[in-house]
Amino acid sequence: MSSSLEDRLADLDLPLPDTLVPRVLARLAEPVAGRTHPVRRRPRWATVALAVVVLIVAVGGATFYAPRFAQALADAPIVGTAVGPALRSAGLAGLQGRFTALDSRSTSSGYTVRLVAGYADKNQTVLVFSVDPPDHMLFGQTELTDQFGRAIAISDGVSDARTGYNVLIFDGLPWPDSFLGARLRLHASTLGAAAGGLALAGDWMLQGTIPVESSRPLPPPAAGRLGDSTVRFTRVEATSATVSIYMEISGPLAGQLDRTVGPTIPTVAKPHLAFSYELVDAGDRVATHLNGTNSTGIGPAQVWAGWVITHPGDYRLRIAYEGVGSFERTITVP
Amino acid sequence: MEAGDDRPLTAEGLCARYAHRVYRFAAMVAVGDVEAEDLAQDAMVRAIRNLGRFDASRGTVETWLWRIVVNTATDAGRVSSRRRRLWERFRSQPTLGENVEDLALVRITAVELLTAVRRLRRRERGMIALRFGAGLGFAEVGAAYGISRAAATMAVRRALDTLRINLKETR
Repeated sequence: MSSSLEDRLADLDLPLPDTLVPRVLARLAEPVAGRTHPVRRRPRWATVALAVVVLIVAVGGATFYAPRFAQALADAPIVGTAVGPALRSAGLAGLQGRFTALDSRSTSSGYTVRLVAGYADKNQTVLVFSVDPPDHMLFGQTELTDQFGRAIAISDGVSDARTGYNVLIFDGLPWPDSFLGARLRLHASTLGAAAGGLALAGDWMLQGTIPVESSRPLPPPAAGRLGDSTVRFTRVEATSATVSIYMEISGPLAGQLDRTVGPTIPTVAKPHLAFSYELVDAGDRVATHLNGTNSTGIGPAQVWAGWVITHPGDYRLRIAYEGVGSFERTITVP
Repeated sequence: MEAGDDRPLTAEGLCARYAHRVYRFAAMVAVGDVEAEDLAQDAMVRAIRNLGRFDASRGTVETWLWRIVVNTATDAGRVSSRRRRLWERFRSQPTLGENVEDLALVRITAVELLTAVRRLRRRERGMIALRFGAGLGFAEVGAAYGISRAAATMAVRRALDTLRINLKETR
């Protein structure tokens, strides 16, 4: 079997798509961002006309492109317990009081999708939806865009087929949404079947405006060691409900953050990651891990981790690599 | 320069010689066909735009190209690994059969094999994709990852072992 597996891999039929080379050549024909071009002097009359146009657009479009200043936000109530169960199943219960209530509905193919609530900070955008009937979920062909038409990538999500609540977590909003607030638009063209059945085609369009929780920098703790590797904390940030920690790991472990350890016992146990981190409050309660990424390859590894916190105070950050070592640092959230 | 001759290396020349192998690599490391095409395109564009920086005195075109391709895949992997986790959380696991003690490789379809490769950890996927997708030797695989030939040989072997285990568990 050994040699045949290798043969099967080498013989996998992966034909070059006809579109690839034309796409490469077309991309090369596009100007590179940051490339400078000679500047032609604009006639004075054109400058005046442009200024008038800019002024009109600024007045007329301010509430669209800068929703922080729109009345809609001022009137938006904060969500209470309605979405609590969905948030708990997504591990986001600590954010519950920070959500803005929304009410955008769209019906297609007999299914109504409602945008219920939203929360955004620098690192993540969390949207809560309900799907009725609940036997399908909002995971299929979906695209989230902001008021400038920029796509926000999805990073995680949870669906509850019993209640129909779906919690989708997207990347943080780009500038200037990150301080203006965001007028978001989600378009879905399929709903996934919760029980593994067929996806449902349709056309659902939902919109909502949410503010972006501001974050403040906190002093990074001192670097630590895991065996021969060094963990350096490059940035620590906190909102009223979250803490984000950025680390750079250099040394032998930098390329082994995805390594798993432990036995594989069918239906009982699976190997787990050797590298781990957790945030613990003064009462020894482990903070809910919100999300995170690590990038390993050539050179130091970059790790980002975020947690939901429920109160200010001292938190202990535990970093460990099984079989190598561990250390703790204190993060004080004022 | 093209390897082995004095002709200048052009965008068209690089595409003609390497696009298919770059795509085969991308098809194995990406989470889906669309992402594979995007990754192959990004890698080729990045390589062609950096042609002016290629220094023949520091190594071959192949070594230089595959380092760029691997780095592009690493950058893309930051996003794709999260997408993969999301997909794994949402989708219902297909039951392909239980209590199958012995895996008959012939029964695994190409799609199942490719899916199993795509579910490996990023570095394992990269090793297998370079070795069997792009058809590189162990020395070239090592050069692309900045490790020795022996280390690359071991890494590919470990990745194959993991793939075998995963295939058996799936069946």
